[in-house]
Amino acid sequence: MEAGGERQRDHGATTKPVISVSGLSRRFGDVVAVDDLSFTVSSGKVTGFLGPNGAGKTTTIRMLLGLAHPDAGDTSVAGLPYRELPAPAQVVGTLLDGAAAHPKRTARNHLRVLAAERGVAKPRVEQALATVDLSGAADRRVGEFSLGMRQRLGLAAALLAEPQVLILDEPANGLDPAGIRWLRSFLRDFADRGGTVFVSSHQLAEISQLADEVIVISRGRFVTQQPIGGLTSGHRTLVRSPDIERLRRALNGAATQDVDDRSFIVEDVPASEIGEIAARNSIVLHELTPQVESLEDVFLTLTMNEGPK
Amino acid sequence: MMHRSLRAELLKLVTTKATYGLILGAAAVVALTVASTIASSKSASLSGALHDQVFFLLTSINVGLFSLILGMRVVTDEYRNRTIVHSFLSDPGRNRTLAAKALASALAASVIAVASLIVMIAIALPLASAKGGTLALEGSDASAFGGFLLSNALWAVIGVGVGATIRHQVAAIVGGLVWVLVIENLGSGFLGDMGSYLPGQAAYALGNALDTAAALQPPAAATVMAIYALFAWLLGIAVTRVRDVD
Repeated sequence: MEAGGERQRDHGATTKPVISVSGLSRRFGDVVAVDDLSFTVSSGKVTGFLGPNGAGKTTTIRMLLGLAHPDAGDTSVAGLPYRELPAPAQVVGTLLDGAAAHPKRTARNHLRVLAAERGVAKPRVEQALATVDLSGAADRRVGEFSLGMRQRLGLAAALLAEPQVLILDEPANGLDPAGIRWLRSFLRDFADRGGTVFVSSHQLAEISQLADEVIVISRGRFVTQQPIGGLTSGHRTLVRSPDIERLRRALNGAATQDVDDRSFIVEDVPASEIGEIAARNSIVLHELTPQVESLEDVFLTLTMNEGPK
Repeated sequence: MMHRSLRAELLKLVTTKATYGLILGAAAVVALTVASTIASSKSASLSGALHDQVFFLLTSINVGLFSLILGMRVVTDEYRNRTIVHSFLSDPGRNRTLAAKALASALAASVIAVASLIVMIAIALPLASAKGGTLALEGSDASAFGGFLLSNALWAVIGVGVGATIRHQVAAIVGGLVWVLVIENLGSGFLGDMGSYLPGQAAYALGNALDTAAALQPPAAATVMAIYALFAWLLGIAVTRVRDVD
């Protein structure tokens, strides 16, 4: 299943917050890693957690999972702080570091240990290995694995207890294109079945392929949370006309940015509306081109601004 | 829940070559120690109970180090390979994980102790006999061997506590060895009779391997060593609970 076409659909009723972060802060000495961060993540969709390197994503996730202590603020998963969940590893599947395995232990034994720890039946080990296409390498030592294979093993560990929530830190690290396609399809399917997926990344291209919505943070602070398509939904349209000044007047004060003496870019007016205005005023247009702003541009603009939006 | 953690810890031990390496290493050191000690002994001194022999004291010292290292590795290996995260995600309170590690390490250290005793007996009796000695297993050996087993289990628990407190594998192991082999020896000299309350001295007394007037009696030695083990373990828990996990 491809994520791209599916991403546009309505997620409708599945809006109950499963992950909640409220007023979360953490300092390391003089460095503010996370600064009064708040957001919620709902079930039934893939939520990307985006920010440049050092933005505080991993620290936030570690506090969410009880691995690091916040200076202030609260977090909850499925309604409770992670530390208070009766069987946390059965509720939340996590991938924090695909390399987190004893290098001399085989992949199967690594998962057997985790299964014992989580009270998961042995057959799940084989199922999880099959899910990530590692059955053939199950008896190889993890130390012999490539980065991509380790990442797959990490995903198998996350899926072992068949959790309803997945929290994945940079899950596509080391995956080849086929692996990324598989991951996209898998997470899409997981969310469609009502699961909650929270995926962090510093790569916008990766998140744009995986996520339905995105939470952007920068320097530990909340920047925005919106559907991934919404990041580029602003209208900018290049207009070229031999009667450019009359068109400017007809646009009735809409913001314009001159390109040359016969063209300008119109801000925040859809191209269709500009065309209708030109037609009503009998203004000849030589060009009417919506400008597509790249996600990278949006990301850089968002994360370069310190303040929340 | 505790049984899950214990099962996982035991599974970690049996699926890691280092565990077998420690068992075999301890057995090899015991074999060399016993063989070389008997070879350099006069036949007249090779008589009586096994636990009265010098090689049993040396076995107590050497094997205790292996058990201590095992306990340290059970924790520090996990930090080194970053697998501790998996344990703490299943047990966010972290107490259960460290309790399971202490129990599993104590069991594994008992295996090291039993293997070492078997090797010691298997080598000592025929070698001593070949040299004209009259060594024999006696009733009093049973309690000494029991004490030896218990001291190794407690060494492993101390190792878990030290490993959880220090986390850095090399620092923990080097620090542990320096303590047992250097500081304790110096300390016991300076402290006089009080030196018998140091953990190493208590451990050797627990196996009834010390032949000095100041040596603690086995029940007192067991109590002293258990206090050290409990203190180290509780310190490990206290430190682990408040620390962030990378």
